[in-house]
Amino acid sequence: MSLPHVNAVVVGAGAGGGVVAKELAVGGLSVLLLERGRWTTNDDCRKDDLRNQRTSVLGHPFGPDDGRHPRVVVNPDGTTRIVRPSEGGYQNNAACVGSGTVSYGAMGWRFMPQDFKMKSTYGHVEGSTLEDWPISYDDLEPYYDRAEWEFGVSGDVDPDPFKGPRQRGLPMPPLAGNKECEILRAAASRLGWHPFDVPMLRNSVPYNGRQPCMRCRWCVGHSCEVDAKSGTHNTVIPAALATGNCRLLTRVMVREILIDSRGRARGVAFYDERDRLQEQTADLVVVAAAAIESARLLLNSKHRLHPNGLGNRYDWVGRNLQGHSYPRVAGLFDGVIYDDLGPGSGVALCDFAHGNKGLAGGAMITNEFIRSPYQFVEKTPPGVPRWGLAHKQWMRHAYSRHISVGGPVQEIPVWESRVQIDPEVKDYWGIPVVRISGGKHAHTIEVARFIASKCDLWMKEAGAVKTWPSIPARAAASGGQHQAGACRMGNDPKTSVVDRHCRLHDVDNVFVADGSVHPTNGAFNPVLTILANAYRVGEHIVKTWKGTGFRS
Amino acid sequence: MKSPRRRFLSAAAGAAALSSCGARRGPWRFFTEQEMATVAALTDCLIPPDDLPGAAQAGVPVFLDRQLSGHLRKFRDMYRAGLLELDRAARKLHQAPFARLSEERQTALLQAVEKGKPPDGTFTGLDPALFFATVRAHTMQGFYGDPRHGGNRDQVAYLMLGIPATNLRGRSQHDVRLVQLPGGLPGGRR
Repeated sequence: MSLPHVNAVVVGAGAGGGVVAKELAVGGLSVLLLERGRWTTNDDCRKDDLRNQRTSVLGHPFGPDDGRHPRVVVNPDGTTRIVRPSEGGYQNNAACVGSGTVSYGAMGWRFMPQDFKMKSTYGHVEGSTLEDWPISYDDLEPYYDRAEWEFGVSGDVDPDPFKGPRQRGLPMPPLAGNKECEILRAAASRLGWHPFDVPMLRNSVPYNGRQPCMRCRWCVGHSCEVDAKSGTHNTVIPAALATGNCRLLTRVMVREILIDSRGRARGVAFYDERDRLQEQTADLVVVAAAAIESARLLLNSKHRLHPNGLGNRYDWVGRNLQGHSYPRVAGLFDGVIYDDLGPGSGVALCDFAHGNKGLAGGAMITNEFIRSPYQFVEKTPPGVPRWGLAHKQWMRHAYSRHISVGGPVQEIPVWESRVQIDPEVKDYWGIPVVRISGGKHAHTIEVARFIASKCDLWMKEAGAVKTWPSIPARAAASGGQHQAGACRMGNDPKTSVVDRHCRLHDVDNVFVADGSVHPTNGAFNPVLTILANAYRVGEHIVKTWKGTGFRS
Repeated sequence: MKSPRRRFLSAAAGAAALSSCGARRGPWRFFTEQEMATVAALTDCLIPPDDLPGAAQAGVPVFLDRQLSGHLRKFRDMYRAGLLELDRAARKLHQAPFARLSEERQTALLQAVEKGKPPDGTFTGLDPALFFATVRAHTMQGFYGDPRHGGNRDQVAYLMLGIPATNLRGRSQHDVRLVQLPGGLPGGRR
């Protein structure tokens, strides 16, 4: 069955897709926005320690559902296993309108200028596919600014001496820090470091018609009870729908991009909410399903002229999958730290994001969002029994007296960390699923150990009487909520998938507008960069659009 | 030390007596009464009672029973086999089911199972270390997790850790009482 023609189909109503849909709709194009998940509202906030996007031992409320969306993971020994979305290794990103922007911790970081120039800053790293972005921080700055003001970012980055040039500050002041923020801020200053207030896509004062944060302890992994977190679901997607030019379909699953006899996209085929196969024709297609699913869609869209999948002439689709490697150091203090003031994370420093001697890259370091009691159970330090009375007494003593700091180490991309199509396993609709394989570059772990050493120093200066680190494992593939890579942006069609405007090198009417285009993923949480880049892509499409096709 | 568990078990037995009708094995969704006795003893070893309730009194067996009929359904076979093997191991060593052993003997047996070294001839066809790790994780989830799932009864874990009780959120078919912390929060707030 085929539906009325539209100018643009956008696949995925997450961070990137939401912004592009709004830009195109405001620019006058007719848009169909497709999302496999459902709408969620702040009434869906359950504050459940065991069932959220971060701790999903009893499931994950924002999808995708376990029953219909398997993936295949290749174990380090080469065997494979089927994983479900709520299980470890799945690399889940929420499937709902807004996707991760509903349930994230909402840090709104800009990358630093060096994050766009990793290769020219640090040189080639053996065994990696490290590369510069084809655009610079300066190219993205105006769009960072738009994202900050349209979504609303609170914080105070003025004291950060390492940041890139900005045309203005943030639209909202920071939330007051909780007790651990104050302890850590003072300690960092004593060490001669440069602490400041984390920029957050979270209202600290009323903004955009929504309330400020109520400071509860359930933030990351949960939707917000008072709608204080800004995501695409409560900003750009409603704005897109309000134009009258954009239609949103939820609970639909896109099977493939349809290709015409000349090799151009002519629309998409998708299963609607009643599992009927529908055909939607369009002048252009924007893929924004997050790195893993975007790569899957391109690889599953085969055609005589694109036998290995769309955009995959040189085998780059699905390559260089990355996320962030988080080293963390927990510290035990003499006095009670816990004061029940969420969201927890509040103070950060960029002293070690770049310029670390002998190392390529680094990480922003910050205190963690409030750890739920069960999360803390699994953080038991060496030497403390894992169960029994001693463990109970440890929990009783340590939970309210601990702090945890860490940061997203910028991963050195590797060719073999990748997304492929599994030859056998299919999802509920019969669409072949992804097979995720590979691990991290050794240097990533080296940087993580260095960052952990700085975290340890920070904790001890703050007065920790005992500290214990956790270092990410090298053998596991990376991705998760920060998933990136897999459809690299670059100027050379032979070593990238999309051009600097995020258009497929091979097909002039297919764009990719999510984290998958990031050649490297920065030393920061990537969402603001995804939003900013989506503004840039959307603007480019609108500017070059001439009604029925593109201006040359 | 034993009293909370005994209370839990006698309550369970009473409930069982009330509902003994034909095919039903007891008041539980998944466990038999025999299994439930083992589960209560086992989870109490993992999180024992002190001046505050242990796992059994905090409802962890209820949590497990409920979740094994829900999201944790895929672990049913492992629980059924593992609990049987645990009892077999207890009988082999001490001629009594696990629930009847002294705490010292229960703990020593669990330590052996955790290390993957149960008594010879038990835990055949089942990885003892994996069984232990699974039950341990689920027990911690039940005790320290959200009360709506059956464990952390009266928000005892939150109380113990010194964090405020939760106001239940969501479309609530769940009846959870709000517990006031005696003396307010550590750190002086509220």
